[in-house]
Amino acid sequence: MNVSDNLIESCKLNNRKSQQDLYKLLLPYLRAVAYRYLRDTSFVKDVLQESFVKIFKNIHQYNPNKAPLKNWAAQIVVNDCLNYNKRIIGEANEEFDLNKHEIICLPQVVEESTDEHLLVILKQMPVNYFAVFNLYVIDGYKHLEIAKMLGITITLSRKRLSRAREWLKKTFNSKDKTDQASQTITLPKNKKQDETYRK
Amino acid sequence: MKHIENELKKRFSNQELANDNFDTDGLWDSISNELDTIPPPSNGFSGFQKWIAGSGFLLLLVVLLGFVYFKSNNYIIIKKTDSRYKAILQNQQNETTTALLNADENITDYTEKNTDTTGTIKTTAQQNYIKKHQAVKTANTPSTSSANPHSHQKNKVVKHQYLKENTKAQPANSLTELNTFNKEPISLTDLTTEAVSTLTDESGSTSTALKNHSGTSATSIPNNSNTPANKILDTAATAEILNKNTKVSKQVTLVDNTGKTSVALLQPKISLLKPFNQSILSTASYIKIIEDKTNENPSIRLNIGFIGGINMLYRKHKANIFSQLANLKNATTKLDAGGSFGIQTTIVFNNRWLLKSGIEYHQLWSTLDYSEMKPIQILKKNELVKIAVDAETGNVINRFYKDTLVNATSTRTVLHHNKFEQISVPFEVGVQQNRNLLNYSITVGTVFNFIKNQTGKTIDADGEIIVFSKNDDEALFKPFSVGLRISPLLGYQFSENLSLTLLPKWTWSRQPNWDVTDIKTNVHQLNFNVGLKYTFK
Repeated sequence: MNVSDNLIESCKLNNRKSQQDLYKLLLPYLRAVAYRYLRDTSFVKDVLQESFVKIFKNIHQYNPNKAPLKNWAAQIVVNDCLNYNKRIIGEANEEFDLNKHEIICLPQVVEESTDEHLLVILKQMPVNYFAVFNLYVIDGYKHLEIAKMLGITITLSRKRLSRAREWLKKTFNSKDKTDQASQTITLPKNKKQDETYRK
Repeated sequence: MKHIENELKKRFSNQELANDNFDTDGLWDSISNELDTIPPPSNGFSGFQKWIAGSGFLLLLVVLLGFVYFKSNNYIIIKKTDSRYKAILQNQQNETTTALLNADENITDYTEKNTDTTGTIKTTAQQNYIKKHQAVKTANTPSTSSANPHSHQKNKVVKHQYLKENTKAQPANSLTELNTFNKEPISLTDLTTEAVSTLTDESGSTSTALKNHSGTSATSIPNNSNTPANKILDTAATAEILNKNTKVSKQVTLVDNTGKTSVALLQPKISLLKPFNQSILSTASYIKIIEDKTNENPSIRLNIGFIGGINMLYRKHKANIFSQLANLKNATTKLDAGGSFGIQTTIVFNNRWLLKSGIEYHQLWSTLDYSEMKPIQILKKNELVKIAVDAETGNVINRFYKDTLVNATSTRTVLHHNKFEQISVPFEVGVQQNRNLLNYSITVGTVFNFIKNQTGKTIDADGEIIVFSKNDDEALFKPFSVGLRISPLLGYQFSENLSLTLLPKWTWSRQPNWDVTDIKTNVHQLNFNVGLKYTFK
């Protein structure tokens, strides 16, 4: 996605046609971001509307030397999604204990699953872990940035990432549940996984 | 694990969704409509920056004006177009003006010194002259009370006129003598306290006798000597002023616009006897009267102080409709301490009245201490939940919990320190009292508060804990607010210009919330500062 400087400058001047062009350019990517971060995807349109208004309202503050426009806009969407999650679900402050909670999902072979399917599984991760996992692993934010975005400490951000990984490990490598979830399992390509599965 | 993360990153990090089944145009219409209601962004300074710049400029202006006024108030300039200037010239040319110096008794009058309550030396003739002008209430009418600093400048003008009226009576060579006099410093070492000068003018001869405190004539100078009589007279007057060490003794200098001719009047009231060069007034486009205030308490002073200390922030919420939420907010908001520092300038009028301003930085903190218990249902350990999955998409269609859930109580505790960075610009007026080396004052006024940054957690209208940042609707402070302040001060002067100060401050402001509630917040800010104050003298 290439956003020309002229288009950005034109948007800064509040040119509606240019704003619409930029909207069309950014929408596919920002929609994906919103779908990934929102727990309840029925709010995608609301979040995107709010985010795009913020983008156009604050585009004069955008500094091309710091980051591509796509990333800058995505950060706005991510923030809005996180706020929506908090409003909808409420912030669960108690730490998630894997021993007390059963994971309501089925183990999958990652490579064989569709994006949608993977997202459905990932979204079953506790909301706080999911946010940190998304920001750190997929979007490449640093713990300091995540801490600022989520209003938490860096230590807590690291802790949540660790728990998220623990959750992933348990979800995708659980041998016991593999047998019970035969309906949705697809054959793994990986040799090691294949052996595990055959056992 | 790494391969799973890599796979997820590969799939989602730059994922784009096709807009096929998405209402792209509908969303754009909504965005466009919303954009129409928002004014276009300005390319210049933000509102906050404008406020800061404006306040800073105002503050600088106040300080600059105070400084300039303080530094430049030791002279007045009478322009040629000024009515006072014309009056001086008119009096200069008036042949019928009483020539006070011609009569011996008048000379005696001049030398009869009167000291008023402030220690100013007056001559009877001068007092009479001033009284005469008071009676007719002219524009230049002064007050005869030297103790009143406000009448000081007008007094100067009258004295000036008085000087001119007496010039005619002076000898023709007075200008030469005057210039000589002005160029030559006079030694006062031999003059003593209680020195009295007398002048006699008989048959063109003038002599001056200076007496010491025992009444013995110390110096007697005839008129035919190189030193003019009035010079000696001035010398005597000066000696008296210096020896009496009067608090408000002044040196007045008249300067013409060329800067070449100046007349030093070592004590204005006595020095009026000195002959004055008419050409100064007739050729000058203005007269500059300079007062030397080195021995005088100035009517205006400027103080600059640096302060620092701790602060406490307390927020009290009130509401009619959302009273329960307001009570919850009050119960969960705790006091917290922060730090402040700043610079403040004070202009002191007549050593009593204060005009105070400055700029302060406050790092404020408050604590959200929230605890909640609520019933929840959790899954039993080792219980599995049956689910229905869409075979094509993999989506979970339904879950069947049945007896897999167990009732439990969830306790949620949130302890969060909210941080606020605030810049304040106060404008206060007050009064002060000095007692020996101690200085007490109290000032009241308004404070303009600008929130630079704020982050933390609060309870929103739904009773949920949410995170807020600077411009969020749920943010606890508005970017700009006006508060009222009262601040007493206790200062201890430990050197000529420096004082140690202790100044607590209490600031109150009221802020309506931005969210949907009708909650209004009373914000109380207490500061305990110590500081160092420098006084310009």
